Amino acid sequence: MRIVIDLQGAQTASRFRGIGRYTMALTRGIVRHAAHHEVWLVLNGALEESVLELRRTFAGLVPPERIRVFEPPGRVAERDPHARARARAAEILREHFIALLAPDVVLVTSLFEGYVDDAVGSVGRFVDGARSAVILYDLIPLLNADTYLSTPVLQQFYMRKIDSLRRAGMLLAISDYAREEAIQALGLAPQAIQAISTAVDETFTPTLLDPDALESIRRRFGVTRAMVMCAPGGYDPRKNIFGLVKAFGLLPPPIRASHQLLIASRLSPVERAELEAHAVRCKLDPADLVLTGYVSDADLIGLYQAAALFVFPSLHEGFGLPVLEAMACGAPAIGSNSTSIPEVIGLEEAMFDPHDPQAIADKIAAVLSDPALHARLRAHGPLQAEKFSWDHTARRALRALEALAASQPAPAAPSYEALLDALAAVPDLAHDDITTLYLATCLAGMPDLAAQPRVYIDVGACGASILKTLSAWQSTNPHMSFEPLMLSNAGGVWHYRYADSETAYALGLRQSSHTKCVASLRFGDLLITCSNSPTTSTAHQSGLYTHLYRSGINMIFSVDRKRDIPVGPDNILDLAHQLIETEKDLRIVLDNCFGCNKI
Amino acid sequence: MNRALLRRAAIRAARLLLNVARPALRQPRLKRLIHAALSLAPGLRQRLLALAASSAPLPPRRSHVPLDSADLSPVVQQHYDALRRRFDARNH
Repeated sequence: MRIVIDLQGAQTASRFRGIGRYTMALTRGIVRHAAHHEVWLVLNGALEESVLELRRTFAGLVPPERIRVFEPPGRVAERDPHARARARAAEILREHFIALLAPDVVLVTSLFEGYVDDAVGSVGRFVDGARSAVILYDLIPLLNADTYLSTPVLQQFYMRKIDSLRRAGMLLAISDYAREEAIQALGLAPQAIQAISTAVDETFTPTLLDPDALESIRRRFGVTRAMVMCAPGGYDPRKNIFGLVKAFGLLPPPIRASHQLLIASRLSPVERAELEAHAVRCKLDPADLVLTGYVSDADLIGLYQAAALFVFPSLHEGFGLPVLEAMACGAPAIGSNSTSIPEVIGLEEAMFDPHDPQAIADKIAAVLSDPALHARLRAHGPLQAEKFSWDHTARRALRALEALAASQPAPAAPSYEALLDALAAVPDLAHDDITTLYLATCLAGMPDLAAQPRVYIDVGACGASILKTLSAWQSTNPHMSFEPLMLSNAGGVWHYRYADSETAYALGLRQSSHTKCVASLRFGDLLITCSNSPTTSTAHQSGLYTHLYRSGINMIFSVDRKRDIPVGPDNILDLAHQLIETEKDLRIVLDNCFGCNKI
Repeated sequence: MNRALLRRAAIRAARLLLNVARPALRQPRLKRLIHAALSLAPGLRQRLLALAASSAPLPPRRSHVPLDSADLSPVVQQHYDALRRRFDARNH
């Protein structure tokens, strides 16, 4: 079975939040347990800073030819009213792109993206969604529309995503609660949604850091007393941070005097000012409240281990990962008795009513003044956390995907003509030159699994000895050909063009059928060039080679080890598929390429 | 007076104002004040964000080819011509 995973959940701003963690951990788990299944990844080229990182993260886990990059036709973030028609076109193009990879099933890791980022997500808009599964984190905006869908544009955006959810063949919910909520709110058939659960990263363990390291973390964050901690995972009203601050103010004076409330969360200056003002209103001293701002995972683990108590007062969650992370690290944890949180905590005496600050304060005071209860909570956390594992979640996801593939016929990729018709039918899609050009570029980047990789030579950059070798090779292998290219800066952007016939002839290479015009390098093609050439360096500074790397072009750089090899963060050689130093190296590359018909 | 004309004039004035006020808007205290004020009017906030997004420059060209329909690669040219035919048919 070929599983195509849309990895945009790990590419947008969500990559810094739970969705990004979930996407990465689940994908790694699926890759680990895929056995005889093929896993393919689809990335969004518009979210370019993450493409390079993800290609490197999955190197060695997923073969490079199975990591494909979809390029949307220009800006598509729906916050911009001018981009909305392009976003509709991009949905059609993305679904077609995935269909051309001939998937048995498609897994969409985060559908609700694309309002502020250039992410593209839809199901069943152009290609039948019966074999598509979508991860369902929660329906919080739908159920709290006044708070989260405050404008008509946001409402339309969200409801279009809900329509896509309904068209998906299966939803994979991150908790039993999220599953039940979706069945009720969307009226879905119970068999159309499976709960696959969640887990914490294996770095979150109860193995204590050494006391010096813990003390250093405490000092760094300004913790001077025993600490009541909360890592809310965001600043939404539903996270109920204000309720927790109020509850802290209601604690008996001796407990308050010996504890600080630490909130570990990324906060904007406005949010920080709001929280500090609220703490003053709740009669907290400035030293009672520690606002850490963004905390790295390593520090978060230290803080969990140093906490006297972890409190998770959220009003509504799809799962509630922070509380499980805290429990996995051995922190005594208490939390809300609402939505999915009881399923995560799994202990009645560790819960409170989050709507009542006095109830929160009573539970905090009870745990901090009862050593036996404190010890029970500390012992319960790691045992409960062990019930959740990514291996388990990945196996459940794989079983659900197998069932989906078995229950539905695979949709065929629509024809090219149908694709053009669908694009032309997008209301308000501008037919100006630039939009048409963006769409055409996007169409040219569609995958073609039957296409053979082509070999391109940068004849302007490669040295005479390489060209001589290539020429000799071509004369003895007349049925194998290279396309001679040259770098160009026409139009103010560095790119490759086919070399003119005179240059090709002079170098003893067969001329291309196209001369002087812009070259379209495709995924899997091979480009032989030289990293030491001045034009190559200039083109690299403009981002050309990074773009080619992201797009899956295999670059072979000829290098001279005797000369300085550039070092640094933008080292062109880091992008190399292979380096060649000698004529023999080049011959091996050509043997591999033409002899085995692949690199 | 035509409503569309008024709207265009208002957008142009807002953009001009935004350009003039941009250095002042970078001050953290003023930023906080504006954020707090706009959080009370989500509709207005939404419109301003949309305006900022639409007036921002286009994202960098990722395809690394000239942005010129008279200078296309043969493959892109084929798709371009096919799309043009569809759009022309749609509009006539």
